[in-house]
Amino acid sequence: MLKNSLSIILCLLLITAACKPVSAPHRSVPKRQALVTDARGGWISIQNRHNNFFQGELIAVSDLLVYLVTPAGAMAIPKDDILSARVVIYNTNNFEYSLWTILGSLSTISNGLFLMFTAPLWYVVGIPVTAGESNRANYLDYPAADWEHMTKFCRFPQGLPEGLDLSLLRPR
Amino acid sequence: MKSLFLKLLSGSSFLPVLGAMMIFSTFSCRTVAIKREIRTTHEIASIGRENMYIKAHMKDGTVYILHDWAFNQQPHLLTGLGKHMDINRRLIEERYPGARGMTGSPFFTVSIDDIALIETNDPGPSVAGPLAVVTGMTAAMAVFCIINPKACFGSCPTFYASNGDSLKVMAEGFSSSVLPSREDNDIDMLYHAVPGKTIELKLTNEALETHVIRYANLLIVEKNEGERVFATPGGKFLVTRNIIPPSSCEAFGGPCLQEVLVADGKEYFSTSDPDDLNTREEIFLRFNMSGAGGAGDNAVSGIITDTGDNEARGMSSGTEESGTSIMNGNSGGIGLVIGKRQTLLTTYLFYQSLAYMGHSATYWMAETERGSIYPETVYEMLGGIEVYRKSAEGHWIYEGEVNEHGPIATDYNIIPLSATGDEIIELKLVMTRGLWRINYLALASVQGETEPVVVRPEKVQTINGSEEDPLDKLTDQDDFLVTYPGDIYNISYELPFENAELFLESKGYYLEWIRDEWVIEQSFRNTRLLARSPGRYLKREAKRFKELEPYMEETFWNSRYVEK
Repeated sequence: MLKNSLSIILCLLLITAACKPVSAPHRSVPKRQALVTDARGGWISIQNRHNNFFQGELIAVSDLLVYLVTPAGAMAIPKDDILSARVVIYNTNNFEYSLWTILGSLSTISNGLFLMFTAPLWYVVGIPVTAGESNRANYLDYPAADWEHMTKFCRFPQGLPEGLDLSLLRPR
Repeated sequence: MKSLFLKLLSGSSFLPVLGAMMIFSTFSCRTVAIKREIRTTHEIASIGRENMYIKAHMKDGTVYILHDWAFNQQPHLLTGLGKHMDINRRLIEERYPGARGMTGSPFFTVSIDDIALIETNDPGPSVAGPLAVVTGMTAAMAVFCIINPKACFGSCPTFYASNGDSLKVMAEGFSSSVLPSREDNDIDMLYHAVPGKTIELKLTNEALETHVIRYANLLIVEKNEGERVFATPGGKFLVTRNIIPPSSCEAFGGPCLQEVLVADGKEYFSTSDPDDLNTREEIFLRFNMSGAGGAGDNAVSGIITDTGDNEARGMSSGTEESGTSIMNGNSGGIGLVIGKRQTLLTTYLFYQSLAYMGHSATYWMAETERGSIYPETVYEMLGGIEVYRKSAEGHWIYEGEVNEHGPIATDYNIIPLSATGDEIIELKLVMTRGLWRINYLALASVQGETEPVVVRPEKVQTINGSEEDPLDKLTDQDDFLVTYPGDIYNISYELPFENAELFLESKGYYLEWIRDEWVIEQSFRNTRLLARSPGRYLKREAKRFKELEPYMEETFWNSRYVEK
């Protein structure tokens, strides 16, 4: 019996991971709700034509260059050199909702016979909600999206401020 | 119990549900995009007030994250509360009322010339709502209601009707009739109702109140294509054509044109004065009448005619005054159409006054019934929406006032304006800050006055309620339909005209249920202040209301009483 139940919970975990969410490193981007009050850029991952990879906060996009700041400091990569890129704008709450659903369903043990209704309700509600959260468009891909669109998610959407010393920029 | 749980999880009856969820999840891989807009400073006037937060990216790389923001065209300044952050997004300064170490005005004042871009974000809706419901959103709301009971849903019978798509709240009956002695009738326009040969209204009691309804009749006015009929605050019905939107709208909180152009869900509203609830604000409107199709054009034929065919109109046995749609000679002129509802300020004041009355609420109510005290003074002080027109000499001329209690449904009225042939018409609305939510403002060419046909209910279906024969209760003028929290009745009417403007005329009163949580705040000192010095009372209550104000609207709508 226990084995069967664990199988079901494992199955639920697989379901919630079915549409695997795209995410940035922990705390490198805000949660969706905090976007309105967060003024940093999205998390960009770049693959250039020489098969090198770069990751960091998207700072600005100019006519020729893409600026990002990594833990090692600020850097600029020529647009023409970029093969593909992905900007993650925020991290979804997929994990939290999965956990919420699983703990919530387990908590129905305390519901007595009413768990006959409340336990299935948790799955009927929790699984679509978690799937919906994991499917949010929380990122942009280049070249599917152009640089003009990505500019909106820079720390400086207006472009690098005039006379800015790049060495002063710090990562999140 | 544990074994039952495990059995259920692994039982065959549960597996189909799980399977369905797996399929749903797999095929529901749709994306919801965030909406971020970047605008230049030239476009700042077009940013709607629905954007609670904006980010002003400065030319020097710093950024202001502002809420309660406003744009002042002259002298070209952006003001707001919030944060100023450096190029690494570390806090330079934070400004909000009561911020530590802050002196002078709490607002940031930013020159538009120093701003590079303005950013707004709409992160989209949260999908966690259903989860929250399951885990006990109801319980959380109940807790909130215990702490802040004046924020919870209340105020009078609520009427829903179809807008052709779904059921929408369209009217609330006699909101200010809080005692038997205050029984009154109330006329609400069913602006968005899409009637056929019949129409059904859903009457609900979603508050902890007893509603005593003497009648709920429809007032019907036949209309032609392109016409709308509006009621004046004095109860006259004016047929109108040629709706003219304002060309500009400037208010205390900034530009308001986008909020008032269309009768949709967007509303202009301001927040109350933190020092005095009885503080006024002004809205300035400008209408360009050139090319407006001739305001005052009375040459429209067949607006409302008395066909004399009363039998044909009397298709409903419930028709009380058949064939009374008669055009008066009172045609011409223009009027200002105002779509508005109140914020929760008056609801709060009413509930708070009951809380201060506490265990002696019945005594105070009885005193009010006898006329010994006169608490309406507070509401009279807050007043309605006054309309002024600017004369050729530049003087503001008073044109009228509309005042109707109730925070639930938007009602539409018309204020006739004194004759004007000006190409540009400038109007000013004066009202109490934080008291009104204005949905729609427009000028309309008045074709004439008409009389509506009164249609009584034809059928009443009890969805939830204990009244026997509710139809008789609503049609017998000496009887009442009494409803309690959770009651629902569907009321059907047969309409005499296919193309008609509908108004709901309801009469009755309601009794608010005193909540245990309210009695804790019993204070006869404050009750006396309310009765004897309403001006001081409104100043005293300002701070307390201000604390609740940001959350009241959402909490109010989430706390409706629905029979489980």
